[in-house]
Amino acid sequence: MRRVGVAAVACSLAFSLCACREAGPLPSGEALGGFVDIDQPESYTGATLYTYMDGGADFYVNQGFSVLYVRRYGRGNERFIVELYEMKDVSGASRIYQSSRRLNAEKELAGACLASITPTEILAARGRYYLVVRNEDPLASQSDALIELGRNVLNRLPGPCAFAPKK
Amino acid sequence: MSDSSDSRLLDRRGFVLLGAGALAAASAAFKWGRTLTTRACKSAPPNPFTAAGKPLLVVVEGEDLHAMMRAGIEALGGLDPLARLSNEALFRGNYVMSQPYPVTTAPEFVLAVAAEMKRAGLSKTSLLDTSGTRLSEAIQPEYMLRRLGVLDKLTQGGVPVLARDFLDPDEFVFVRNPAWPIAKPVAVHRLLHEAPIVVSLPVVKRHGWVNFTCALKMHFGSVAMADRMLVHSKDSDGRSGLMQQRLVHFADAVRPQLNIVDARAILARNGPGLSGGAEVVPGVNKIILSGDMVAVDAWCARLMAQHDATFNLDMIAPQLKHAAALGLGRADLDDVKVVEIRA
Repeated sequence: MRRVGVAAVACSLAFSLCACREAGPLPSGEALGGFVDIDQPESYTGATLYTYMDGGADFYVNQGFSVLYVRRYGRGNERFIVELYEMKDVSGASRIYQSSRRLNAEKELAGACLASITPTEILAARGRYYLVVRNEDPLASQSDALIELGRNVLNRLPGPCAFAPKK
Repeated sequence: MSDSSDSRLLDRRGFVLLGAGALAAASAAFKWGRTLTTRACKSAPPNPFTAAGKPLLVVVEGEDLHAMMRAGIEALGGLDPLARLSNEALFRGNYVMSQPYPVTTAPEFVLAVAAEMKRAGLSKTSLLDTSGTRLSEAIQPEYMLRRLGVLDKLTQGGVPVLARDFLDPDEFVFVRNPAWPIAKPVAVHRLLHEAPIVVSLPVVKRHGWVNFTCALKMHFGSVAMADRMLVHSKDSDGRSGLMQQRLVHFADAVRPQLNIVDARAILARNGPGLSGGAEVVPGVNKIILSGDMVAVDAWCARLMAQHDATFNLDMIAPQLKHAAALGLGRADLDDVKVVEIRA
């Protein structure tokens, strides 16, 4: 029984290792206002997400994960990473944002969309997308370029904002 | 650089090659499972870092990493007990995803430990990691380490990096401790099973499903990917308790002689990576050294509780209790000699 299990897992793992380079809704750095593309875009399905994060993938899969698009951008000496989680429905993206945001750090970022904004990371949800824009150095100080990148990506996403500022 | 879906890493030829590789892996794994014998877990000598019959746990606070490391090792009584075992040590870091410290073990931390090992008379230190496979161009075993700068910095610093394939059956050996409540063996990396000295270099993080990761949980990365995936698939929400038990068994299969934790910063609220609401807490400015990985987790859990209002010690009580019951160490810090110093 053990050998069948080992073979089955090895086979399914090997067949699932098809990490792709689709950019999805993430445009080139130039289209986002003077950012430089760093590396090629990456994309991951539910079967390959664990190759991007060997631990923690279940968090997204259990909320109805569909595809993850990853792009890296640079400006000057700063390096940023954008992770765009496409969920199967709007509620999945909203639930992930709700459990990840920091309530005392929410601000309007773009198009009447609330985002959780800390010095090195921006979180937001719009339509079926959960968006993470992060300084690649998690110990970096606050950056105007991070805000600009987050705003420009969020503005391009389709669908209604999951959370809007209270009027 | 193309944005289109035509730029898939795997074209038709690549897919065919991967398919052939998958069949070969499955065939090899089948043969492996059929012929492999299960061994006992490695026989590790008793914890050499003790005081008055209690395991010693040294906490060093400071800002100069090298000074902290030197002071911590001196407070531990030096590394002679390790040097008597062998002149080579194998390091294990936490490389769970390509995000820098404190998500993963910092290369400068590995080099600082290596320098002290060399000073103690060990002639060779290496870092073992298994976070990729040769079956896919996209996740070669060196990929994550290269992206993090670990590969280049350690190689230049004289610490060879052993980046091994997590799907290669020849790399792993089945081990089992009869005291485990789960009968199935664990496929631990052969180098860890055979190394006379293993030194773990954990980071302190929250974890979405098992709440916390430090000295015990990091050994998920020490076993075959098949073992990791089986636990994740059978306990996908972390509620059955399987993962809490199995992570202890994975650590038992490795049994490092020394654990040196880099808690200069920690990852609070969520984890084991960024993106899901995790919060980096800088300025913690501590390193923790001990031969007892259960005591390390008990102490580091208290550290986490000081910095993360969403965490409490009950969250890791099951894994500490199970680890202590298996004899991996002391979960009650009253049974541990804790030495706190500044450097």
